[in-house]
Amino acid sequence: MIRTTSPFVLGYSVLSGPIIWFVHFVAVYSLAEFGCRSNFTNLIFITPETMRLTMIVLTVVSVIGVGFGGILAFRAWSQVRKETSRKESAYEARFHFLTLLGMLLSALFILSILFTVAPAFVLSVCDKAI
Amino acid sequence: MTTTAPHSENEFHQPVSEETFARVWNDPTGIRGLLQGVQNQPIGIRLIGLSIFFLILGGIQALLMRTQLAVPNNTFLDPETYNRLMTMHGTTMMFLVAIPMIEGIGTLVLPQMMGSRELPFPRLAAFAFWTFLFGGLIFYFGFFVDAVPEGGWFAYVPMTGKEYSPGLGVDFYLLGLNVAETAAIAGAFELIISFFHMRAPGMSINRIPIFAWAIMVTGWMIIFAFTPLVVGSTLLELDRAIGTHFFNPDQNGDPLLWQHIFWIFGHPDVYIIFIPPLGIVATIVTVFSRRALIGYTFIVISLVSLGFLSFGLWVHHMFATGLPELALSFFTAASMMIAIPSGIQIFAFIITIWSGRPVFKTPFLFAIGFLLIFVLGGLSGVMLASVPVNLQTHDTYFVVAHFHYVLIGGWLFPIFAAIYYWFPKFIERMPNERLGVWNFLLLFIGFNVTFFPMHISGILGMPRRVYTYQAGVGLEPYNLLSTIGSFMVAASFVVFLINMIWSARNGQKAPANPWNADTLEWLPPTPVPPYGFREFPVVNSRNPLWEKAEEQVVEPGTRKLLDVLKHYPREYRAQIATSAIDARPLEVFRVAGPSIYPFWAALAIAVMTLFLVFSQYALAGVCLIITMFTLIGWHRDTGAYSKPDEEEAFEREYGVPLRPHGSRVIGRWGTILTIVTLATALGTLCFSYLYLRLKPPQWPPDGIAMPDPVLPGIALLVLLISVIPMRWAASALQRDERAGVQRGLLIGVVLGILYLVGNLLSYGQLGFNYQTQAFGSIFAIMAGYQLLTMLVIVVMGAAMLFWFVRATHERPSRHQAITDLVLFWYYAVAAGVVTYALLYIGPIVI
Repeated sequence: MIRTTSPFVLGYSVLSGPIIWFVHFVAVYSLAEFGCRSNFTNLIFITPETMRLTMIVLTVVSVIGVGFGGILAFRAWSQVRKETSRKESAYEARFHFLTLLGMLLSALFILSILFTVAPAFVLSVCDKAI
Repeated sequence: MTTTAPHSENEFHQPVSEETFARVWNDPTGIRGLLQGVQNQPIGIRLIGLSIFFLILGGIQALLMRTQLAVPNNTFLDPETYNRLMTMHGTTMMFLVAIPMIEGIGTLVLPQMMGSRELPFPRLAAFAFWTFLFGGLIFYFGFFVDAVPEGGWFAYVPMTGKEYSPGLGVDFYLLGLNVAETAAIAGAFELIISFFHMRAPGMSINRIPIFAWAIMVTGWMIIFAFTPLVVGSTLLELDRAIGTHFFNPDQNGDPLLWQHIFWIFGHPDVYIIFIPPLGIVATIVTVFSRRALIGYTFIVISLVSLGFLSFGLWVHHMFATGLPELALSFFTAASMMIAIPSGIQIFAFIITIWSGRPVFKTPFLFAIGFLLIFVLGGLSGVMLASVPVNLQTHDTYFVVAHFHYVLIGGWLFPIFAAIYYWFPKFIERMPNERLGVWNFLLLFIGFNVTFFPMHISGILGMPRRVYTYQAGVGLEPYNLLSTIGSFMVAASFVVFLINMIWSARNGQKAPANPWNADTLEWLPPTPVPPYGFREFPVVNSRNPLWEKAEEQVVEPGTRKLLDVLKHYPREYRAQIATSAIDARPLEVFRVAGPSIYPFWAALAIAVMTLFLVFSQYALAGVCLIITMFTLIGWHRDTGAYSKPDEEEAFEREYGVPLRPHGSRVIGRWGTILTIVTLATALGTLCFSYLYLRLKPPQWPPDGIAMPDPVLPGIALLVLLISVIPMRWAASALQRDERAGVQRGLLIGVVLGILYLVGNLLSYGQLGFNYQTQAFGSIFAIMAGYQLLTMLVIVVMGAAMLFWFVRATHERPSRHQAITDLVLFWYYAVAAGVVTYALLYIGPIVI
């Protein structure tokens, strides 16, 4: 029987990726859209010059948050692999499933976060396509 | 029926006949059954039937449009009629066909697939059916009074504002669909809770069928996507009906706000429509490939990711609205990222088929059709994710081709597959295979003939939503082909209907499991008894019906419980609630039986909506009061099943509580989902507030007085203090202290009333009203939202206190609904803080 991992750890590793991605996504979009729409007159601490930096900070924090979940899931997953016999019990099988879910979701959403923010390094902040 | 209450194992196990057991599960027959029935199977079939009815209407509209476009400069339809048909077609298909079908299949199949006897709230399922029906009828009622919407299914403002759409057509659209959207949300509650807590023992989270995963993800998406649309529709209707200014640019409103809200719903809606079909395809591919699905975990990850990522795509419908490039690029990224989880699933399906021994029956043919067409639709989707391509093809037939490839490939093909697949189980006859193959071939060929040429006509520049086109610009052959194809699609649908009717009457009688399927809905005999499973199944793998006997392991305690549930309870419909992760039995509870109140509630809401359309507000108010009475009738519980000795004996004997008053677990989930829905609505209002704030340089705009924060601040303080007595009440309830519960509830309700009074007094001192520019409008709607939430919860608190004081013969802890009320109270307090911060502090700091 494997050691018990708390439901919080499992829950965090599974849900942190999608939730943090969404929060990050809305945050960077809001910065770009609301900042440019109002000519930055309403955002007290953020100017066009500092927006890119703000996005980078948000991205780093988000990647750390999701990565932490991924690491937790990876550690738990390694533990399952080490401590279970070839034929898993029902409990071990569902634990294995959840840890794998946590790891892969974290990886996918770290990729999504980085992919989302990548254009900020190429495009100017408030130019318009049309 | 027993005459004495059982108290020992032998007494609980007293055998009862099949007839006696079925008696409590049978819905009434005839017209009473039609109006009062709540069972998942008939309700699911009715929802599917309703969807097919609207599909026929939407299909006829499409044929009329294609006939008009067959040749250039055609006069078969005038522009106004074309616009109406275009609007009705899109709206019907998206709201009245796709969603009822998905929820219908979920309602029909999910409980039995999960080894459950029923849905958690059967009356809510019945209510969802009636509200879908009435919402659809209200929407179509416009035809009878010459008030048909013409603004497209997306209803962009200002075209749908009062100035450019002065009739009632848009009102029928907004209010009728709001009723149908309420039905969608109600149905979503059922399906989510079923997934988490209504599973057979042993069906741990890693053994849940992919179809159920897909339905669960969809349920959440419906809550998060449809709620903003309900809010947006309400705002637009308020603009039209009482002169608010949310979307009026002259008064600092913004038409783009509507597009944001609509597409925050609209894009996830596409995924809401096609995620359940992914579950259907996964089910069918497994069964007809004769092997377990490859990549189960990866498919689950894909479904969950799709659910989230689909909320990061909405602006790709707005690429041509002049937003900053950087903002657009975020949506390009998400739109391209979503191809990854979609692709993973397609690969998993292909590998499963490749490594299996496929049997090419009709359901499988449609599943294959899905794979081919959906991939093409997905590829043009990736193209449209790119801003330059999107701008070039914006509002052309290329987009029409893309979304029909996604929606027909991703929805209609799997839905036909599902109907052919589950037909034998629920209609009890085998569908005709030859007609099924004809159905498939006509649809597959007809679909491609219809929609593939649209890619070309779109690239050539043919605009969509236009009733005709000029001759000699190279569009004629593509349009003629599309029209010919559309009639082939119609022919395929006729073949489908003939097959369904013929097979239902003359088809070969279906055995219990004709496809040798692996999931639990095929376990009961055909016809399926009203309770599904007399003996709850136990699950030990992902393919329970393919398990070998020696693999079946049941814990002794669980076995004992399942054995007794074959005979007991005998006086009401009983169901097990199981834990969310491991599916261990948590409690046995009573699910609701037949009731006329869901019908009356839906009817009262429908009539109220009609009165609102015709601006008869007093009559609408009367209907609202009637609705409240129907809800009280709906939830009224006489306590006839309450036998505390028996319940205690049951818990002692079997280790899980018996709850004839209803489930605590399910009730708590119902409360949480209600809070999530309300919070989503509040989030949409907050987004609208901030969006509107960005337009004028000052907030409030020039000439509008700043709202005074003092009195509402004091009221908020009172509301915050009310958390303490409500917390006392909840704690006292757990300790069975009657006086503590009463005191806590009473003080909490009084403080809640003071909060309401304080806010009402402060509104009298405001220097503006709901018509004072967009600022006044958004202030009024947010304040109104908070006031209404608090009013409802205070009334609920008072009613619970009243019932609690009266029920002196019962143990306090029986009134667990009070803990749900307290949870709801906490939400209302949090919402109070948010609205206060935005409405009173916001103008000072932003």
